Amino acid sequence: MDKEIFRYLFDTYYNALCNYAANALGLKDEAEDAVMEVFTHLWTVNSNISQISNPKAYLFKSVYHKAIEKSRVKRPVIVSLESEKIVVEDYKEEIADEYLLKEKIYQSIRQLPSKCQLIFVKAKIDGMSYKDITGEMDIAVKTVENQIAKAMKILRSEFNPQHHEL
Amino acid sequence: MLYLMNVRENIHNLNNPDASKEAEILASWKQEAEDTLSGIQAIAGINFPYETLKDYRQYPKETAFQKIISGNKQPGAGRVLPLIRKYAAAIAFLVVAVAAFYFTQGSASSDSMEKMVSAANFMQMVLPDGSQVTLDKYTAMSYGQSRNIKLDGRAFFNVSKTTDQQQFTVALHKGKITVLGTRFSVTSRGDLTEVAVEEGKVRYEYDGREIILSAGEWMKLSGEDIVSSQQISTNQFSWKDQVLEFKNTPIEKAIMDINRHFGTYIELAPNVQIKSECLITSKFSKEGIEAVLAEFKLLFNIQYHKKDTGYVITSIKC
Repeated sequence: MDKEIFRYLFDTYYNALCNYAANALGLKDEAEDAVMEVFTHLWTVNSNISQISNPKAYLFKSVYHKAIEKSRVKRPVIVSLESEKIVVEDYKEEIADEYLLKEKIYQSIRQLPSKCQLIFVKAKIDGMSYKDITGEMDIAVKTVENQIAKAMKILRSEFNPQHHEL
Repeated sequence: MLYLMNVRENIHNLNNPDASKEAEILASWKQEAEDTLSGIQAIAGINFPYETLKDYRQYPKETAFQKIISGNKQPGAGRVLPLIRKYAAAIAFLVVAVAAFYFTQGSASSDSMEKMVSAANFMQMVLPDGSQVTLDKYTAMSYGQSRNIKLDGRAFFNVSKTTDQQQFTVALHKGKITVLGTRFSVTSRGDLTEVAVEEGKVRYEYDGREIILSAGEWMKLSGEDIVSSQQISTNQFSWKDQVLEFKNTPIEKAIMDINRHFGTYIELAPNVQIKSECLITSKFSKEGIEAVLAEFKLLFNIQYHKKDTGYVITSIKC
């Protein structure tokens, strides 16, 4: 049963934590290592993982500490606290929530039909103009608009089931 | 909130092979995650700033999971020399053994304590209740499902507040600390007992006496007497931050800070006189005691030698 709980925690938080470590904590290439180390500790040392009363806080704070640890290791000489704070921001729950929301939205976008997904990513995430997309993909502006509208409709229903029912 | 109460109510059953209890925990976690997400989605609405996903990516989750489960999970483990790992394991074993001996003395608690050991390393961790702990090297700490800690060594606690106001206690070699949402450092090594509070309040009890310490206050046990001060050194928590900093600090004061920082003992030979204008401005991060003494030698031409586990300064010029 513990393995099932571990699997649940891993599936729910792993990708969000990697992105949090890479982007919010500035670990970049070491992000996966940091998150792996936290989950490894959880799996091997903290044998009764069910006793964790707040898994979200536990995991995000653990990764936060790993980032501090790794940033210290990377700096062999004098480190001032002030400069360290630039690299590793204090842990904030709203940042953890932000990454969980990003994860949810990111996974929803990945579920979109492939063409719809491609156009949506170019327009909304990469910030390309509709005109540039039509030129690059050799499609009509109307097609871009339709695909964006389709994507937004799917995403809205995903995030807000009531909206879908309407 | 109901979820937290539910978890705590069931904590004592978690070692029981009653799978239905564990299933309830899992279900409550899932519900909690759903509730949290629904809340933030409602706040985000449809105007989510999609451009913030530009750096967001998919990491190979399944590969990572299998590595951990199969035991081949130590990222970067190959970077450590096998010989060092061998010694580290031996040291860890010894410390675990010592800690196990210490923690089992007089412990009849029904709380299923887990042992956590920092063999030779400074480390940070998060307790099950979300409290954060920084452990100094050669420190052993036990913790369990309740918020009752046992400490042998030095640690800095950043204690989380809980909805049920459950007390957070730290049992020391000599005495006990009770806190409610605070940040403090405590040392308990043999006869040495020292507490310094960065934020909030703690109560220290020993031998029928007690003292309340507020933010910026410090106490130590001197023999059997409780000695306290309402002024703490700027380097009081330097061991935790691993940064020891002096700004026009008198040498004698600097030596006291170094002793606290490294847990060592540097003394001045009886014939050594230090002028009051003898000040130091310097910063050390992660350097060992030898490196600090080397800088003192450079700055003040000190002469010193080792004595037992500490050092004696026999000459100083400034």
